[in-house]
Amino acid sequence: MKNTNTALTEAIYYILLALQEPLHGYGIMQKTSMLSSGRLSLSAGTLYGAISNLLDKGWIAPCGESSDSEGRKKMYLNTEAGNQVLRAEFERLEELVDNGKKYIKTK
Amino acid sequence: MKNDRIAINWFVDFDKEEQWINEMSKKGWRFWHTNGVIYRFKKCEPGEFIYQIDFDEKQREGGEDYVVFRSSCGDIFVHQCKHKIYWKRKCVDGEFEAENNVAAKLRLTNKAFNFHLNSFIGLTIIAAIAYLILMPLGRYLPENGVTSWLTDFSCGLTYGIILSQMVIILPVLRKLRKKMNQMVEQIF
Repeated sequence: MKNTNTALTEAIYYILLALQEPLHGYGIMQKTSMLSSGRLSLSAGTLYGAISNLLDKGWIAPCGESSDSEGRKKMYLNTEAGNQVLRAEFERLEELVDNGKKYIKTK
Repeated sequence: MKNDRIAINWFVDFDKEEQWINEMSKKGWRFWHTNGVIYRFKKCEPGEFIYQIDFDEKQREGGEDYVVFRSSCGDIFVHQCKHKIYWKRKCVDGEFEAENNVAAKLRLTNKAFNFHLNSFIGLTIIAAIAYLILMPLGRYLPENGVTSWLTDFSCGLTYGIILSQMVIILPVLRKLRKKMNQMVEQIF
């Protein structure tokens, strides 16, 4: 299992957050936009590259296909490794926020 | 009233190409095909579509095809010319998300740079052969119609090649290198 201590990019964090349930590419775009209240708007090119990287790292895996009027779409889901990375990043971010609250001097 | 329009154009910079196609769309001409030089348009409502040029991505083993993937994300596939893919979207559906596909753009620019550099080297070799072998041959062989033609031909070929290198290939190489440097700065 591959793990990391480096910070995740915002896009990767939100994709992992979205893929705690099975979603296809367009679903991920919509979910990340919804989770960030429209602030993070992933382009299809960026998302395609991110999905390829996450598959290579073993943090997400394909989990079947959905078919609708527009054709068949691959669905993806976090692996156990992906969920661990997500939790580790959440703890890191929490620590940052806690330290910010404690040590940032207010005027 | 004509419904089709053909325009001849050639771009080194794909950002400028995208800008031009979008300007044509604003004037009521929607792009639908190109071979890199001849661009074909059909009549549409002015500003009905917006366009984006994108680049094919290497398909991961067992992964999705990029065109299929992006089409499923709501963009309309228009045309693919080598590695360049042209997408459109109805204006009412909003702007394209900011495309951050710098690595793919850099790969394509690097490819274009290598192509032009190879052309430059190939032409230099041809010019050198013409100047150093054919021209002396034409001068020193016993004079007849063929040798005088050979001298004129090799002289014309050498100067023609040097002129085309100075006027076309070198400026293109400079432009591509500048663009690559800008992209490398964006990545790092």
